[in-house]
Amino acid sequence: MELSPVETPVGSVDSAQVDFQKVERDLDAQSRASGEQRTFLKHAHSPPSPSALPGGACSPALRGAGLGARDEGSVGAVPAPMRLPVQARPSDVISGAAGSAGSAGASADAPDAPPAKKALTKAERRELQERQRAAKAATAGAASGGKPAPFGSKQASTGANASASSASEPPPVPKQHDTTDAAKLRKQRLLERTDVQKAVALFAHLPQYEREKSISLPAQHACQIHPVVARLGLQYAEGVIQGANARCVAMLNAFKAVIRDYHTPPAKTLNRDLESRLRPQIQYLVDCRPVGINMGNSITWLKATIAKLPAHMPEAEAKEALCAEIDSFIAERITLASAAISALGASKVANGDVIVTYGCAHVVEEILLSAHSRGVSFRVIVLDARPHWEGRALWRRLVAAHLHVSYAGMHALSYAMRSATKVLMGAHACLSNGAVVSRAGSAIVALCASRENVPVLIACETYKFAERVMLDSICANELGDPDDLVTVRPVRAAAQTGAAAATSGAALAAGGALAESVDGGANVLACLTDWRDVSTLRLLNLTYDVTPCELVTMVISEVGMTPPTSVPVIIREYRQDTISAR
Amino acid sequence: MASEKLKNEQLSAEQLRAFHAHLRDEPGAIAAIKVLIDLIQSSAATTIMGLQIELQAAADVLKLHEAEGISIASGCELFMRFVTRTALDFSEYEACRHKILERGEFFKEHSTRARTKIAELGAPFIRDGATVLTTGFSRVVVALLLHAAQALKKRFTVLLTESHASGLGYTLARTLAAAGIPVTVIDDAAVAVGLERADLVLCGAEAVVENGGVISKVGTCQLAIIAHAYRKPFYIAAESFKFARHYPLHQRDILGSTPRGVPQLAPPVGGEPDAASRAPTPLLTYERLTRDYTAPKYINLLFTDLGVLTPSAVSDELIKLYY
Repeated sequence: MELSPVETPVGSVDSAQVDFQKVERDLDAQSRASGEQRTFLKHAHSPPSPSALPGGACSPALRGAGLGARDEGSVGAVPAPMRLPVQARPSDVISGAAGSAGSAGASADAPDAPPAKKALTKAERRELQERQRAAKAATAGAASGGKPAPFGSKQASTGANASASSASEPPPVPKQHDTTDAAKLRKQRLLERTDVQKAVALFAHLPQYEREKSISLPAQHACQIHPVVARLGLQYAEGVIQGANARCVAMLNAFKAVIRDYHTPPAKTLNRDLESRLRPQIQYLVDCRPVGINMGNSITWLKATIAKLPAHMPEAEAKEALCAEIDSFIAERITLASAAISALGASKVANGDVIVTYGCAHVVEEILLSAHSRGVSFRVIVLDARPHWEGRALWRRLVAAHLHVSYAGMHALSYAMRSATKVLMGAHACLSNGAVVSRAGSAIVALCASRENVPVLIACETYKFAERVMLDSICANELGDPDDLVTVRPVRAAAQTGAAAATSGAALAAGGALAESVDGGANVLACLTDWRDVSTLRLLNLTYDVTPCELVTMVISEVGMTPPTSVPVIIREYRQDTISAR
Repeated sequence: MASEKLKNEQLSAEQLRAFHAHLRDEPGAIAAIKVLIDLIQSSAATTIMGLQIELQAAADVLKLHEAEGISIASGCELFMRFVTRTALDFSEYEACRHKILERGEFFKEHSTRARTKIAELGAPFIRDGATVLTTGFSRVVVALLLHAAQALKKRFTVLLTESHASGLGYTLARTLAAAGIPVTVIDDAAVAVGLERADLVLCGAEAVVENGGVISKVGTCQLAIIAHAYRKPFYIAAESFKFARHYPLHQRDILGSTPRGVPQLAPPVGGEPDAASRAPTPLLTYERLTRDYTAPKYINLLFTDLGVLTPSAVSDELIKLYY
């Protein structure tokens, strides 16, 4: 009964579905396999009702359902989870009740409310609030029957007109902690993404979506998105392309394709119109996965470059010039920059050094390999942590180059730091206040290093330098898929001996075993698959953290080795250069 | 021997002699720049590129100087940088060479001018009745103290460490006492005791490195750490030509440029022990470390001719200088 669609799916009439299945099929086979696995798990553990999942046909059926659901409206064949009213979720009821008890004006900051709501008098607001409370209480009673909230239930977010017309229906429950920022983000969205069900309250201002089988683009936007960009977005969402540099290069290359296929409409000029053509592409990519600071910098640069093109330049010539500019940006600011960093960084690696690194930064790998090729004899300790275990890829490549590597989990941090002489890490961004945004976990490595008086070296290209300031990792961050925390890759017997602190030979053997189990995907343990049903449990998968300036000894960029306090100076000098040179 | 051979090829004996003469009364960077200017004047090169190659080779030779390697290297680098920049501005060789020489004269005067400027900027930090602790022998520190005493008529006392082995502390003590400043010389090992009655610490530097830390005479680092622990302000006085593009992370990073001491100790005060008891054995070695690296976190301010800088501002200046 609670599965009946209370909320009218917005845009169900005018939004034709763009089939990305074909694009999806092109994706890397492995990632698709793991994606299917994950989605299957999600669905399997919480079936909304026996009838909602057509038995036997698991993944193809789900795939179809995800795509076609909204189109077919309330036809019986549609699996209901896509449109379950938000009120039915026990988690929301709980957090909502707790929140509204504290704040009298809780409904006033509801972002989903229609704009007309501002005009309500105090009394009316009060009344509305009372009604919402009653509705909540009612649904809480219904939900206490133990029906788990199914995955993929649609947010009330799109329900601007729905709630306006719902005088008789219970209005949608305002999402707790939903700030105006989040509402603004949602408004800008091109894609209809499913917001994550059980967001952690402190991080509710950050966009977080459920991992979806397919991503559908409303028809009015579909024609705007270039196929290459569409494909790239899906790759971002799936995590096929990872790593700050790889994502940025892929994005710039996709924009090159957009520029090549662009034709200036009549009565418009390229340097003014092209940017508006790029805007939806960028928005689409943001919807798939929030862009990193370096990508934001690159986008800013690209927009500035487009704007600087002479208005009278012939189209073909302008397009070629832009593509050439993008190519040289990639070469100068990313490829050659990391080459320069690896040369500089290698000069800081001395004989007898023990270098601790965390995660898997491309520049760090290059520095270590370049120092090794210079004949410096040193040892590397690769620290690693869940959920991505990026360090495994790093040490495998280092061991292949015959470096002396130890591999340890994060829990061995303080032990590893005892013998360390330097800590060398990559960065996602360097900020104006000298803080470094990096893979979550870097801050504690730096903290431990500073406690042991071990210098912390950060390798970072200047295109990742940002003028903003961050004091903590809460205001701006990226939330990863909480389900990544759920699955635990089994530690096999071979890996158990090797993974804790393996030196090269043993580690290689252990790595082989690990790779097997990971690639096979058969032995993935899922210990918390029912976390969505546990009302008091929320999962938080933070992607980045902020290392304060005091913990960083040196930032190695292509312009040299500088203290972190000099980041703003480099930004300033660089900008002057770009202004004067062009 | 290899360096000897190199020297013979790149610099004539008299040029080297002149260099060592300059070193006696100038900081290493200025002495090196003087030699380079002389080299340009006598150079037979006809292109900028040729001149640069010659200068670079000479600079490489000068850098081999043991005691002041880092300071000389930074002076040479600064000068080379200037030559490159000038070369970009002038297309004609003669005009460029002329400009470089003109600028070279400016550099020559720079050392004394910088010292005066620093003295003027730093002297107000010495209050009436203060006790200043210092170590080593720095021309800039002397200039600053004399300026405070003579021009600003400040009444203060100076605590000096004896700077064992070189004994420069005694030289400095005599200089200051002659200028009418009360001086007390204490043991090197007594800095922690002496610091308790000092109000501020003022030291010179051989080089100021990129993160605002300094490389200076051994003993400075420990003094800085003690001052930090005692919450006494620790100031460095150094000219901007001592700023070096060098970024040590550990003490051992500057060891490469630190000469290993001859395994001999200065005779202890009690009298000459027999030589046999001092002879090194496989298990007994002597090492004389002559300089150390002081991290920026222990330094409060640097008095330079560019102004009174915090350590983090040094990097900003260096980026501007070398960018």
